[in-house]
Formats: sequence, C-alpha cells, structure tokens
Amino acid sequence: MTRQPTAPSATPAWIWLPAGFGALLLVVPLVATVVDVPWADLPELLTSDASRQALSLSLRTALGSTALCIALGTPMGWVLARTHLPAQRLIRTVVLLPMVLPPVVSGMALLAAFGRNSLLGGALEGFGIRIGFTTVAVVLAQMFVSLPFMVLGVEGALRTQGVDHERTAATLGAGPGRVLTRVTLPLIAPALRSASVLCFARALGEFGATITFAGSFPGITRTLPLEVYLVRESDMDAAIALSLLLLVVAGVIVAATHAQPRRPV
Amino acid sequence: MTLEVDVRIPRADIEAAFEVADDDTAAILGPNGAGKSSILGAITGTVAATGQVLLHGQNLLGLPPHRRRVGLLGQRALLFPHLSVLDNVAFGPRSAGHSRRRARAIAGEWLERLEASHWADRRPDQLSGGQQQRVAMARALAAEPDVMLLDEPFAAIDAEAIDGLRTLVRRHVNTTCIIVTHDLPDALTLADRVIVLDEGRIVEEGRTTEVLTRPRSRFAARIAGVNLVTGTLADMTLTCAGTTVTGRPVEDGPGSHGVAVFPPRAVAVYPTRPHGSPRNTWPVEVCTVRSDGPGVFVTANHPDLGEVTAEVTSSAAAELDLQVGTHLWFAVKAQEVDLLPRARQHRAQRRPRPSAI
Repeated sequence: MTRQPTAPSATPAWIWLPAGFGALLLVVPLVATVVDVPWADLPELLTSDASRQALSLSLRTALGSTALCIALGTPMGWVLARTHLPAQRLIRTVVLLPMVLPPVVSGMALLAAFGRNSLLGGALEGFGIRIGFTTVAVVLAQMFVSLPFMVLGVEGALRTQGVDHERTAATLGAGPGRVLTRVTLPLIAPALRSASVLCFARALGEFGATITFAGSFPGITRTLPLEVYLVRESDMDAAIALSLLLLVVAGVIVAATHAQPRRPV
Repeated sequence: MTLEVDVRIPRADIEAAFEVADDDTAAILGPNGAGKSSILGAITGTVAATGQVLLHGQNLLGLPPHRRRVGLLGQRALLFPHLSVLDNVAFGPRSAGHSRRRARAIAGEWLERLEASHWADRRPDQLSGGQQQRVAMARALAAEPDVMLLDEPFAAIDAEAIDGLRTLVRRHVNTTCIIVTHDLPDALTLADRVIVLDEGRIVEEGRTTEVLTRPRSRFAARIAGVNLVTGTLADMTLTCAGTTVTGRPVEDGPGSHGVAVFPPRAVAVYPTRPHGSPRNTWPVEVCTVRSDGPGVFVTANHPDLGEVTAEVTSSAAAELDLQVGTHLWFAVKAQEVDLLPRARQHRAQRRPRPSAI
C-alpha cells in the first residue's frame, strides 16, 4: 500500500484539544440518547396512541407551515432583494428578529396579537374564529419562527444569482411573470429547497412558542416535542423513544442538505 | 429598420445622438468607461435614460424591455443553466407564444444554421466558452429581434474561436445592429459606420474605412491609424484597381469585397526598387512627412492603392531625403497584411429573413 503524500500541516497541535472538547459536548448527549433507547420496547412505544397522534400532528403542521413559508417567504425575499423599500434595513431586522428571539417570547408576542383578549384575536372572535389554542395556532407559531429562514435563504440566493439571466430573458421577449417562473425560480431552486428543509426542521422542533401560544391539547396542539416533554415525567422510556424519532428525522435532514463532502483548504 | 438614438443618461453623464440606417451595422468604439455599454443598456431597458430611441416611429424608452424586440449578445453567453441547449434557443419563440413543439422546431433550425445542432441535447455547462457564445447567438436570433446589440461579444472568447464566431455574425445578423468593441477587425468586418465615444460624448462618427484610416479622435487613432486598402478578395490576395496586395486571409470569404490592413511600421521604404524581396512592392510618391515621437510617418501616394503610410526611424528618414514629390518604393511582407472581408459584402449576399420558416 502506498501512502498518499501530505503537505506539511499549518494546524497548530494544541488546536485539537478545544476542538475535541467541543465535539464531545455535541456527540456525547446524542450517543447517550441512543444508548438509553429501550430497543426491545421501541415498536410498542412508538405506536402508542399518544405517540402516533403527536407524530401525525407534528408532520401535518410542519408540512403545512413549510408550504405557507414557501408561499409567503419567497415573495418577501424577492421584495428585500429586488425592490427599494424605504427603511429597508429596519424592515429586514424586524423580519429576521424571530430567528434570534427566545421562542417563549415569540409565543407571548403571538398571544398578544391573536390571543382572546387581544385586538386582532378579539375581532376574529367576533366572527366566530378562534385561533389561540387550536391547530391553526400551532401552524402560526411554527411559521413565526421558521419564516425568517425562508426569507433569508431566498434573498441571499437572489442576490448571489444577480439579474443578468433575467435581463437576458427579457431581451428574448419574456414578460416579468414568465421570467419569474421560467428563469428566476429554477435558478434559485437549490436555495429554495435547502431553505424549505430548514423551515421544516425548525417547525418540527418548535416547542416554546407552541406551548405558550397554542397550549398542549392532545391531538390538537400537542406536537411531538411537547409530547416528549410531557411523558418525560411519567415514562422516561417513551420520552427517549420519541427523542430518537426526532433525532433520526433531524439526521436525515442534515444529511440531505449539508452532506456534500468538503475538502480542507 | 432605422434606429434613431437620442439619449441622456444623467447618472453616467452620457449624452449621445446617432442613427443606424436600416439593416446597417454601427460599431461603437471607445475607451473603458466611455459609456458604450450604458447606451446599449438604455436601448435594451436596463439603464434609465431620457430622450428617445425610435424604431419604426415608436419610442422604445416607453416600452418594457420584453416588448422592445431588441436582442442582446454580451461578453458572457448567459445561457440558462437549467435548460438544454435546444430549450435555451427555444426560449424566445416560446415567449412569443409558439407551442413547445413549434418553438423547438424553430430552435432546431437556428442551431442548424449556426452549425450547433449536435449540441442540442447538452447542458450549457458541457460546452466551451466559444460554443456557449454560438448557442447564445442562436438564442438571440431565434427571438427574431428588430435590432441586435452586440456588447463586446468576443471579448471573453479564446482567440482561435473568434474568427468563426465573427463569420457567423456577419452571415446571420441581418438586422439593424450595434456592436460595441475594442477590436479593429470587429469594426472592419462587421460595421458600416463607426461611432467613437469618449467620456459620454460622441467625438467622431463616420464610415468605418474613413474613421479607421484617418482617425481624428485620440482613441480611434490609438486603435487605428492603420493602412487600409479596399478591393476584391481572392484566396491570398486582394485586388484594388490593377494592383494586387498579397496577405494572409484572416477569415473566409474570397470573391467578395474585402480590405487589406497593415500597420505603418510594417511598411519598409526604399529609394530604388528592392530586389529578391517581399511580395508587395509599390512605387509611390511622397505627399506628407510627419514626425511623431521617435518615428517619422511618411505618407505617399500610389496610383491604384491611394495613400499608404510608412513609419521609419528618424535616422532612416535622414538618409532617404524625404521631400514632397520624392519617388520611393514601399514594400510590405505578406504575413504583415491581414485580409478581411468587408461588412458591405454581407449586404449583397443577404438571405431572406427567416421569419417565414
């Protein structure tokens, strides 16, 4: 066997130590979870009524909120990238704020807007529409925290892409609508895909805003993360089993979006 | 269709008015930053301008870009990376409302005309820069523009691919056309007229041969100031009134109008007929002598060729006794002479517009 020659490394030896500790911090809890999984009882734990209900609710709401994020976030990204708005910076800051806001605060903000005693919520109540503590509230909470990922992804892709291809399409006789659907969207499709996956992941894991704004009613607002948190008190094995489920989903998502191998530079 | 341009672009301090006659080609020359591309941008609709751009009586500035029927071929091919070569070319016909099948049929014909059919199913990233540019040309032409704008279309292309592309432009771009270029052969082979732009203003305008042989603006003088002889091209020669000039053919096109181009420093000057010597030797009579820096420029008249300028060193000039009226011999090696087909030639051979396929 011949050894591949390697160029002299510019990496200082001591750098391995903090890098290693950091990696341990991330890896040990994940490995511990997997070790704790009661493999024998796993099928039973995952197929219990409560688990199935929570899983189904989580998937439905996360897919729904992701679809809505695509529908609303793509135009928002376009507006930020391609138009001149007054106070553009302020608008961008506000739009991206939920990314860094503590989820509980997001939940409080949603309550303040759509809660029973709030202005909007009260008005809607007048029409017989209730949002707080319904499945709609779950979707709203998920959108509130994940929409910024979509906006940011689309805006960044549009800026990187530039307008040259779009201008070329216009000289070929394509009107703005056709340019959007036949040129712009296909060109930013990869970014759109990865932003959607991020949105879905963020929505699936949403906890704080959901429990604050939507509460925890089985089958209506109790999503998988809420279920994990609640059963933890009574049934540690079930909580671990559900955690494994979320972990696998997260692993698949990360692998699907960031799996390209990167060479050292 | 005659294109009348009279535009002001305040942000770039550009004010230019010119006209391109029906189906003519105008070359816009000028240093970097002179505003050449901005003027093209005003015509396509990507640069905000006031004034007017009239095409068959309609002011294009009042129309959205996709209704202007102005085609553009820039430095970069900008093919749509998500579409096959065929669908790239079909994009224009499709936008014009043709069915997918019809649009692909039109695209196929254009690819065939530009000898690019064999790439139809490829993705743009599987083609070289020159090949991509050829497809981009097919795509622009398939949209059947009324005016074609070429913005330094060969600037990013490998030298060996340029001649072929230029030939394709000469053969297939039959509409009113503007080409922005830095390159003398581009202007000579493609353009009927030359417009020289400097700092946002037109500083010189005229027939290509006139501007390039007797440039008045600094920029034109820098890229031009060459000897041009127009005549009829054969394989390796150009015939002008009874005199034959031998050179190296730069592009195909024998039997047509052409131009022989050679720089003054390629012209050797002899007091008597040189022996065993270059292919091109001509008896001439000195008309003007002008010194410019280290060189002396001797312009002399030949009965068939007209004025030819030679650049000699000042010591050589001293030995030659250069007076107006002195009889001399000029000699030019064949490999110093570029033979180019002239823009006019494609007018005569124009094919019918392909809109009736």
